[in-house]
Amino acid sequence: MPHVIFMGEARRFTGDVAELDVEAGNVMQLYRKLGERFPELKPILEDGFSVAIDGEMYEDSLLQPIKPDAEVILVPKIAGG
Amino acid sequence: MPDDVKSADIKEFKYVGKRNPRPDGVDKVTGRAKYGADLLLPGMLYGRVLRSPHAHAKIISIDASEALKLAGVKAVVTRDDFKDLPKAQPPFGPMIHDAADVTRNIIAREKALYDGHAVAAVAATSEAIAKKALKLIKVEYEVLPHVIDPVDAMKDDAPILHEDQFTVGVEPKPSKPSNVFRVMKAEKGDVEKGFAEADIIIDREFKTAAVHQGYIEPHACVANASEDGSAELWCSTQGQFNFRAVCATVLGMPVGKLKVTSSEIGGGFGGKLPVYGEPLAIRLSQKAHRPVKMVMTRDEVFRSTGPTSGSHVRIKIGAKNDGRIVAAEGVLTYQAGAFKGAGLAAAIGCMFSEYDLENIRIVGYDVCVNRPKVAAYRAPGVPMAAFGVEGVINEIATKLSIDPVDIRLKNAAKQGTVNVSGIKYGPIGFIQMLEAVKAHPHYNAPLGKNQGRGFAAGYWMHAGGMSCATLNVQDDGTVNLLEGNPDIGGSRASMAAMVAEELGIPYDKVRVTIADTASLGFTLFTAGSRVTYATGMAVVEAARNAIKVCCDRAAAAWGVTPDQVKWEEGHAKPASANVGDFAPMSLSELAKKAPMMGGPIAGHAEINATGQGPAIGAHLVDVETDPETGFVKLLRYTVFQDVGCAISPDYVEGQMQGGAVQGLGWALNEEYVYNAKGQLQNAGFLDYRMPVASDVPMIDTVMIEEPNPNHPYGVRGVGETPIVPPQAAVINAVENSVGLRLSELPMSPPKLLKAIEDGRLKKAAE
Repeated sequence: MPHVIFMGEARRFTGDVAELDVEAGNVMQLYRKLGERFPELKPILEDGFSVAIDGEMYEDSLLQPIKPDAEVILVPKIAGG
Repeated sequence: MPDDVKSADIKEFKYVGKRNPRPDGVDKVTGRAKYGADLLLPGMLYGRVLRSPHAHAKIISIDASEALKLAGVKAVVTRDDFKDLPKAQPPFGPMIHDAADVTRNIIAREKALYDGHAVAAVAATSEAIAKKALKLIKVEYEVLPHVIDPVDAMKDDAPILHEDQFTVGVEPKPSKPSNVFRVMKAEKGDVEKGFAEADIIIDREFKTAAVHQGYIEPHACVANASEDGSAELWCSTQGQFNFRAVCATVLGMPVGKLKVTSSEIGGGFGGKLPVYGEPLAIRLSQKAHRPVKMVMTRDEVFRSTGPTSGSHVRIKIGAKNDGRIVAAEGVLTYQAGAFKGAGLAAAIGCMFSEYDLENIRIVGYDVCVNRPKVAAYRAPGVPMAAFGVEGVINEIATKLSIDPVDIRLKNAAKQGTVNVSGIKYGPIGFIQMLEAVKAHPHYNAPLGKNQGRGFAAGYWMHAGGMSCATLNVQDDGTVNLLEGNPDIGGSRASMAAMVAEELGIPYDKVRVTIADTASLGFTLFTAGSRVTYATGMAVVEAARNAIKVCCDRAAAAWGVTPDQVKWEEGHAKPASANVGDFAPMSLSELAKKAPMMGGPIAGHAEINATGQGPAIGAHLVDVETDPETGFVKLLRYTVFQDVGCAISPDYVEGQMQGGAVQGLGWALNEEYVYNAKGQLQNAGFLDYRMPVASDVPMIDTVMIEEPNPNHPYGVRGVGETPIVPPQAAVINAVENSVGLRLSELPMSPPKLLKAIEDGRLKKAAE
């Protein structure tokens, strides 16, 4: 099952939870599960965060597959100039 | 996207990596290129904006009746012409999209929140009449106390800009409104433990001024609204699709009814991402039933468009005696301007990220003040934090008698390093680059009296995102490419090079056009160092799709299967001798026969690019300081950068040089000067001192090419990284030339002279 780690800004919405395992086959499924578990995170997941899956950045990629043994980190989106 | 280009192949390409002529060059140097202010339409009106002279004031009433009576005035718009849009509600993610703020920034509603805030706009048959009309608009203000500095704005007795803003990110939730929109935090490892293990700890405070992007071309647009509810907008923008979305939202229009065409753009650097006069021009055009042109003056650009944040930054770093950093902490206080949204997320994500550090803690404060809302400016938010980080690392190196490059080599991020955001790096060229710095003749060149050498590094994480491309093969085999990014830094050349390389046709057979919003699918803005990376991927995919059409047709003509055909040097050829003896078919030949072989040949791509990588740079600078005047003369400057693969080396070098020069202005001269009433005093290039050619030496460049494995040609974004290190590098050089520690930008001659004199007095007292 994918292992999700919350760092920095994301942890503001997860209470004391720093990491957990989530059954999800892609980013959309992951967001749905995280939204159910952390209601405060739900409205900002898609617009506020990208994901790093096994260290690789995926932005606005709801259909990106997540392997069962993947490590997923929510990464704050940033704007460029 | 197939990754079929190996890094070792980079130098073997025919057009990629070569110094091809710039397709837009001739029109730009002859004055033929059309910029934002160059469009003229029949019956066009001229729009002008009335701006608040107050830094903070309630708007009691606006009376435009006299202005409307003036002959030649066709329309006036005020806050009443724009619907109040819903305010974004917490929780807030790292990015803030608040339509209520946008509506209030383009035209003041309850209050004017900065000197220069738009209050009303007029459309008239001439500029002179429009200007005269502005004087006839009566605005009754109730002037309020104002606050300019973010630290002052955080005090309990500070004037509050937004009574409905309560700080986010603190517990317990505040009951009083605050200018601090939010507190952002990031943490990795155990910082306290790290500091406890340190042999040396340096803890310093830094201050940087707000600086403007300083693009040559002011904001300019022409709007033409139709009675059928549609409208067209021609404007200078970094993203026509983003402008369409924001204008449609603010104006309450269906997105599909607004067509936005990007003109040529005379610089943006992040400052042409927000809308300002564009929605006003569209609304004026709707009311007047005529086209409306709006062009800002330079004064308006400075007073009302976004600079980058000024900042107060505290950096604390602990290291072992061998130079290994064991803990790093940063506190960032950034001014957001009149509305929330300083570049904190980027600063937090990038400031320590070229280093492999175990223990990091960063806290950032996003603070509203009575200045224009900040806009992105090249690596938005990062240079101010990097100024502090690199300054402290240089100080630690000096105190430990370690070479400044060696201390960075000891702490350099490498493949597998995980940064504070949790991103694990793939191939990254930082160590390679630091070794190149040490091996460069500049590094050990002798220095004279009052001269000093400075060094600093910087990190940026370039963007990916949505891009579209359409490639049409014409009947003579020439190619028209449509893509959606305004060409700021030479992207037409890079796109043409990649297409020519893929198709195997001469570079000058490819013509690139920047599409309007009705002609192509959504393409994210020209920003975030994303264009050659993300749109480049779309362009390559479109070319490969066109090649597939060609190969399929050759296969059909030869009676073989498509996999028995390969594309090589601009021809469809049998994939092997076993396929049969068929004469290769060129792109021109296939194009000529296209009407009889299935129709036009085209390739399309609509992608969302991911897999972006880190982009790291390091700058080396020599200065000579005049101890009697505080003047700093720049003697020599070398920029090193991991560029992945330079598709167009001329324009990559141009980005590296341009970023360095902007950083030098930031370091030595540029700042906003406000009077006691909060009015900007230096709203022009005579008084706001940007570097000119005679101020800077030739900026030498060294491109390190560690390919990004996620791009078909190994591209990394290059535009933003080069503005991250210059501030720290040049101040480090000044420090070394005068033997002082400096912590404030800009280090202009009066400030440096004072620091030198204070240093003399201190020495005398000792």
